[in-house]
Amino acid sequence: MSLTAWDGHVRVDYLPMRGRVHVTLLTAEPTVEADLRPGLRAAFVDDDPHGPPAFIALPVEAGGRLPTHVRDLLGERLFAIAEQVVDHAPRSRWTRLDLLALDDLAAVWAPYRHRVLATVADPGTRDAASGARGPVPGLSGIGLSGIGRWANGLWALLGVDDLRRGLAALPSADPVFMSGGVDNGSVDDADDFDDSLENPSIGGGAEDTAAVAAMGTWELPADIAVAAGVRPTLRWEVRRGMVDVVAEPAGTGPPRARLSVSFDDGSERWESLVMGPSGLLRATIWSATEPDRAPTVRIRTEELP
Amino acid sequence: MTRRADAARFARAAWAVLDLLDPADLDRVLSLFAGAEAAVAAMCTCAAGVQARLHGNVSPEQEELLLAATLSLGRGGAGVHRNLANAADRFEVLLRQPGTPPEVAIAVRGKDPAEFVLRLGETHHIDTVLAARRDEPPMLRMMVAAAVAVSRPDAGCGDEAAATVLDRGAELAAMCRDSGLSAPGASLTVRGNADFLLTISGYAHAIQEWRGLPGRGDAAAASCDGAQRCVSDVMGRLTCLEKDLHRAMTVPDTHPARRGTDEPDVVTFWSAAAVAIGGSEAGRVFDRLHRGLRDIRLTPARGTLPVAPGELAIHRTGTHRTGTYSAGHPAAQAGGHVEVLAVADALATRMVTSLLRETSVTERAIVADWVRGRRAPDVTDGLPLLLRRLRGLMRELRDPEAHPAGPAWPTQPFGLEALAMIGSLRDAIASHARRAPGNDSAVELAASVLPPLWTVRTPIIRALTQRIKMDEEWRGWNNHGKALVLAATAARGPGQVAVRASTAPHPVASCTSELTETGHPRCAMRTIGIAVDRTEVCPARPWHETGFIESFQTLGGLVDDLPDAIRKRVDRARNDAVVWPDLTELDQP
Repeated sequence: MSLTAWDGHVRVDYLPMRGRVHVTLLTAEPTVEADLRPGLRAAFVDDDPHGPPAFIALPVEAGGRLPTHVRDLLGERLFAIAEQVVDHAPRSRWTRLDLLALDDLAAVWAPYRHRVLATVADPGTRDAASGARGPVPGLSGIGLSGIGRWANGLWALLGVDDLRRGLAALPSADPVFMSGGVDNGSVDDADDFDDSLENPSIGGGAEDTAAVAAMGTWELPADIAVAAGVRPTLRWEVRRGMVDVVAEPAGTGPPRARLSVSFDDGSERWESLVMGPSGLLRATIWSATEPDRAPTVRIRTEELP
Repeated sequence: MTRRADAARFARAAWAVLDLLDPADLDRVLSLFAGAEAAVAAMCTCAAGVQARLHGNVSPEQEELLLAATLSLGRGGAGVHRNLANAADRFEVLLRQPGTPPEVAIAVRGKDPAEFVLRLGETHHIDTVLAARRDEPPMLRMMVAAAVAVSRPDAGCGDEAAATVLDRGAELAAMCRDSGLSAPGASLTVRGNADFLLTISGYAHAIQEWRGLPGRGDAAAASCDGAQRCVSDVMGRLTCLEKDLHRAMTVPDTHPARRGTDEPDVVTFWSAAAVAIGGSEAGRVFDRLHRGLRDIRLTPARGTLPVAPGELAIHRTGTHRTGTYSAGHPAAQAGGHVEVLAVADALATRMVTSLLRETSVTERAIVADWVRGRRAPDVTDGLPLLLRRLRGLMRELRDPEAHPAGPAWPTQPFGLEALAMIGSLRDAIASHARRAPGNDSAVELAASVLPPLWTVRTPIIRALTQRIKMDEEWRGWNNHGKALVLAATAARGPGQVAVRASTAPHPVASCTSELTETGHPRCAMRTIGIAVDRTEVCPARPWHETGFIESFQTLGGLVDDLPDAIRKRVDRARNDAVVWPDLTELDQP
């Protein structure tokens, strides 16, 4: 039996002591594994540019609940099984996914897969013991943009190196970063964050007049820009220790999808870009990590009804 | 009872026994004879000899066992026993265990102790019960069934014990995954997957627990100390398995453990894994019982395939030369109700005969599930087999003169299923012909009624690409681009053609387009319900639509190569790869 991840034999395990769910696709192919963000770990088959994740480790919330965003990551079928094993014994269940379900799963994870496999795409870094292997076009090719596709939209990872440099260059007196997002002027899990009280309108789309301490741009994947009706160049600005993400409407009619951004730090706080008085779309995000280790920024579209 | 009646009944039993063989074993037996009939004759002669030694004491229920006993299927070679004493020994072993199902009997060798035969039977029973209730991969399920059966061959309730072991083993594997493997696979010295080995090692430990502490399950392991011990034990087993895998993947072709130079290395690993889970006895049971273990190659071995019949499928641009089956049939001239049924019946019979020709019983079940619509599309099970049968059928239908229908493989044990297959195809063909009367050729009729193996083509190409790399890896042949090109030529519906020309794809207005890995646009999905002309190349052709689906140009777009380079690449690959030629042939424009 030549078993590949595409054969779709999947086991879902719940580890109560660790508060974690594992998803393992049985395969005889070698994989590359990496931590994707706090609590989230995944492995991908090392020479399959389109394959589903062969292994996923996900955190379970205290009290044995699966966070709702896990549904996006696993798809309905695996999510339902994960709920079963979290709910009651046996704590492991096998199931079988068909090619369409596997392809959907692979599509959700594309940006992460792209990033993890990029670490093996350079032939120089490959293990000599694995023998001479032909190049895998998708790993270095231009066609594989690393856009993820999930139930109601697209998502992608944005580059973080410039942003880290920008944040690190800030004067040390600048306010510390804290996890979370600013939502309608109130801060959920950071009660002592005074800034938002002084200036309750930030995050609501209003222009902040504070000085820009650093700035740069991201190129959006074309599909995402088109869906959201914005120009493909996204600007980021650091002010008051927070990151403003600014997009310019493309002027091609009403957008089909709403655009949101978030730091990929496990908090799952998405901030929608909202139209401000100057005609630009804007959202504000922030992270509690050290500036030089700021998490990757994610962007997503959500289809408008 | 007359000698002649004996001979006829023996022949029937012999066909039934051949039918139960692994495809690879069947192949090995047949390769020694001029044809299946000659093999059956030799089996009957041997059976008659054994019967004479026993002074004629063979009851009708024992006939299949007797004919099974005439075959020798050891590691060294296969064939029909020349030495009557050996066949008689084997028959005697089988008689000692009344009620042994034939699919188990076929796995029994002469000189097997009665207890071993009992264990084969128990393993088969447990495995069958579990298969109906659980979703474990079949290979692992049978390893655990064998491990349980050899521990308590006659205790009964083996299926419940095996279910407990399967649950516990999975739990252990998950626990160890959590605590140990930071870089899974880093310690593997050959290509392979550590999670896979960990799953096996979890079952191995679960078997130990079950043998040592019957009745105690999670309670014992829940304590932290116990859990720690379990983890270190499982990790220890993992190290041993890694060595087993390395050994298995580096066995020289000429080693006696190998059945032939074309047997993939990994086969020996499956046996090692069964031993790791249940001990050497369980390993022997698994080896004997596991159907298809030696059939992991994609092609049947050389002997079974009818000699490639001149691959004549010729397509001239604009004028398809397709089979004259329906037009040439006398009944087709009139075109009335009865005539439509007659044409449909003739075509359906020919299709089923071709699809089932020289298949083993396991293969036949896969084909029947597909033809009768019991198989869900978009799964990989048996896919290479079905594609291979499909290509053979379509070659025959395109050019019936070059492929005379020939005698059908006797379908006796399978007669009802074959009739049902013919019936369902006939009804579908007839209703299609009534809906669209006119000039449908045999190829088009067949293409319109064979149930789809996939609903979307891209995932199947991706799955086949990985599968080809796995299959060819052991030959030192692993190249993503090459595998991708072969997968795209193999993944095509019944009336679809990978054309040997640089034909450009059709204008994509009727399809959504996607970018390939190398950034070339390619049809992804048909959006308008109008068929694309059959001489235009469309990689997104739905299953039932006939016409060109790939060309050197579309294949080149997959891997960023020029059409001419693709032509060379495909030809070279067809020479290098033993596995794929009959699935990946391209047709002349």
